[in-house]
Amino acid sequence: MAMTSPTSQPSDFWHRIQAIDRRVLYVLLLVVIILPLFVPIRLPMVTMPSTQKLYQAIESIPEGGFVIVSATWSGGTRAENMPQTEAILRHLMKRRLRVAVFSFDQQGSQFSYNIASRLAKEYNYEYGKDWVHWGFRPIVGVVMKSLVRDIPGTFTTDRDGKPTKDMEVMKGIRDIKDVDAIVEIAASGIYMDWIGLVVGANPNLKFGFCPTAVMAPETYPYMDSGQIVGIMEGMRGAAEYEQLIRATGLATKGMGSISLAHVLIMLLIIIGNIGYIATRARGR
Amino acid sequence: MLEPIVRFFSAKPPAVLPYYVAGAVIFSILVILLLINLPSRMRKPLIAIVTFLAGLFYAAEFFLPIDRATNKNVLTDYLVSASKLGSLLGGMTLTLGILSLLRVHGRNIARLRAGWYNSLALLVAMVSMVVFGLMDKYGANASAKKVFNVLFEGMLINMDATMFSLIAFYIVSASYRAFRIRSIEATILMVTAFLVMLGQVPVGNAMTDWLPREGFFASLRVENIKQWILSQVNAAALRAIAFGLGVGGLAISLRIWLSLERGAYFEKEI
Amino acid sequence: MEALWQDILSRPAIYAGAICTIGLMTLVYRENAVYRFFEHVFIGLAAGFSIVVLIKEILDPFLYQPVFKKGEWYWTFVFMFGLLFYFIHSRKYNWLSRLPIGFLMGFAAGQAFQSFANTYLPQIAVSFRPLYVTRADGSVDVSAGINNLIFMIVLVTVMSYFFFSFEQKSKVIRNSAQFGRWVMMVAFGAIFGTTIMARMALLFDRMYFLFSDWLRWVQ
Repeated sequence: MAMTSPTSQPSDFWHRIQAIDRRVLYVLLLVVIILPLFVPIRLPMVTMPSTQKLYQAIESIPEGGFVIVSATWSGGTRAENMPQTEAILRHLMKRRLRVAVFSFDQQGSQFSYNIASRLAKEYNYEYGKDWVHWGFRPIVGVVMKSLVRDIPGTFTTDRDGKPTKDMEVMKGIRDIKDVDAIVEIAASGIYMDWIGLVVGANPNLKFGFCPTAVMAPETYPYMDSGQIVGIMEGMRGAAEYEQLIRATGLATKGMGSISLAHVLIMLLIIIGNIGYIATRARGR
Repeated sequence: MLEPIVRFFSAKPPAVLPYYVAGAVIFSILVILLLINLPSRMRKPLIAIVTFLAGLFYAAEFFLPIDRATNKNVLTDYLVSASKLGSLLGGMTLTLGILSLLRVHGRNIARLRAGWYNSLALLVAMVSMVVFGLMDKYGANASAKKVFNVLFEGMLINMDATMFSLIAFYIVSASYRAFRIRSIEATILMVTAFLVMLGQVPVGNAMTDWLPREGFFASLRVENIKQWILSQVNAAALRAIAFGLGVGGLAISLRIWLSLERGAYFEKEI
Repeated sequence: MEALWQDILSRPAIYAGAICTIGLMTLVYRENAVYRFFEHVFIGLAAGFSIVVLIKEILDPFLYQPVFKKGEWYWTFVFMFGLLFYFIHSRKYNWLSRLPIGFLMGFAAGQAFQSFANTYLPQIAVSFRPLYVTRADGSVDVSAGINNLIFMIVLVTVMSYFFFSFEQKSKVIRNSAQFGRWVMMVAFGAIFGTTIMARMALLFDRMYFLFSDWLRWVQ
């Protein structure tokens, strides 16, 4: 049996707090995520300017305006992108704007169709008249280049193969100049393609982006330049947007859990660093 | 002069359509047979020509002057066709990996290798998804639609979400173990991360909620500090990085377009 | 038992999702047979869904409809060209797959010129900022001026960090690059902070699914 000298005791403690068993960490994480589901935490939430700008941009579109919503995400980022998609579609439908949905992701096509169909029932949106789903497109650049010049030509049929040109929702829509806004909800850097190939083609076009939180910082230079009109940053952005449109969704419900998880991670990092500094001081 | 060619490639009535389609298939097979027998030295130049011509279309469409009356150049009208061509061609890559999957897991089952039942589960899941996925669109059977819903919404999406969510556990463990303030850089990174983390959750907002919302002291509210970091320091730093990425990306695009790119894929003997 | 069976039949997708979620989550404890089984099912479903999408959303609207409904027979050539992708599995003729791959790469490369111009030129333009900023009422906005100065210092110092074309002998350049390195850490710290948010959101979604959608213990 190993003997432990009295002087090494504190050192062991500092080492130990740097090496908490991973299963303990996992259990702690689960507790802080699950607990607020049962004991809701009500905390003040301030709307970020990035979210506010996106909201204002949608608000400024005249009634009957035409908005394209691209849902380029899959199940992996559902937690963030689904509340974003719901919040944007809800806002557009509340405002009675014409909506065209499509996706550059195979799962995103099915997802966005399911969400839009559900909300359409809620807001009395008639398919073909108030909204349309253009389906899935696998290659980004070619479709963007084409829709700038000819939208009915690029999306000749909808997701079910029905011709779009006679649909009322597409009335008067020829090219990008007839589009008021594009909102991309994505888990990838697709916003660069929109900016590079589409945004400049119509100076009045408002381009909003709803990325996962991890991608939000990299989009700030483009919001600063006005190429992106507003950003809904991950689940937090969705929660702020839900607050703005007065709808409680998954994002709002998640803020308590996510708050506690953040606190836990910060505490763990601090504990680990206290142990590290103490060990280093002892070493000296 | 081009009129006969345009007429030849126009839409055909149903009566003659099968002949044209069959002709196109036979012609394509002949071309493929010809390509198969192409001498090695001609293969790379052929790939380079195909790459260059494809790139030339979009490059020329961008650089050619626009006629002010029509707001078009000679290539503008072909953008829609190029989009359809790209969609069909790009879409065909979706299932490229399926053959490998079938080969590997088919072999596992045939030879009853360890874990063969997992391979069987994989193939059963794949076939079920294909059958019910197609019945969802082309069939009118309500039960098939329900099964597709179970497979897609119930299983696939939830499994996809779960796979990604597992990272949450590992990021907690990794942050705790690896995030040490060993240098000035690491300290700056940690302080910023803490400020941003506090600024983006309501519990952080609550910490400085007692500060006024307007005036000088408002800028000390944690959400405003976060916003300042993101919009002033982060935006400027990432813009500088983006400039480098943009120039590098353009250079690589040019090298790919002109088949000048080097590396394992491009230099391999074919 | 009867009630449970009824519940399963009325919400089969939720029950299937819950079982799959728990099956995959067992990985957190350690690598195990249950996880491997569900992992294989997941790959199978994802692969199957790709085939469904290929048929439903690609071959149907871009091949079958134009060729057989509109008589645009020439799309057959594109389809045959696309089949060359599948030569990637042939050891002898896999070079043929490089033809359509090269074609798609060429398409993307050709768009790069426009993309570069439209993306970065406005970025350069807005990077030159006034240091003397006035408000609508004519008063001087000192904080905006300071922020603009900070923005430009950060931009220039980070760019100087990436000057690899020559040796950084000058003290000014060296210090500038060092400062650039520090401010990049601020940006990376911000990215780390938001990454935590993203990952926690994913885990919350799973727990919400289990406790609300499946078990209905919370609303």
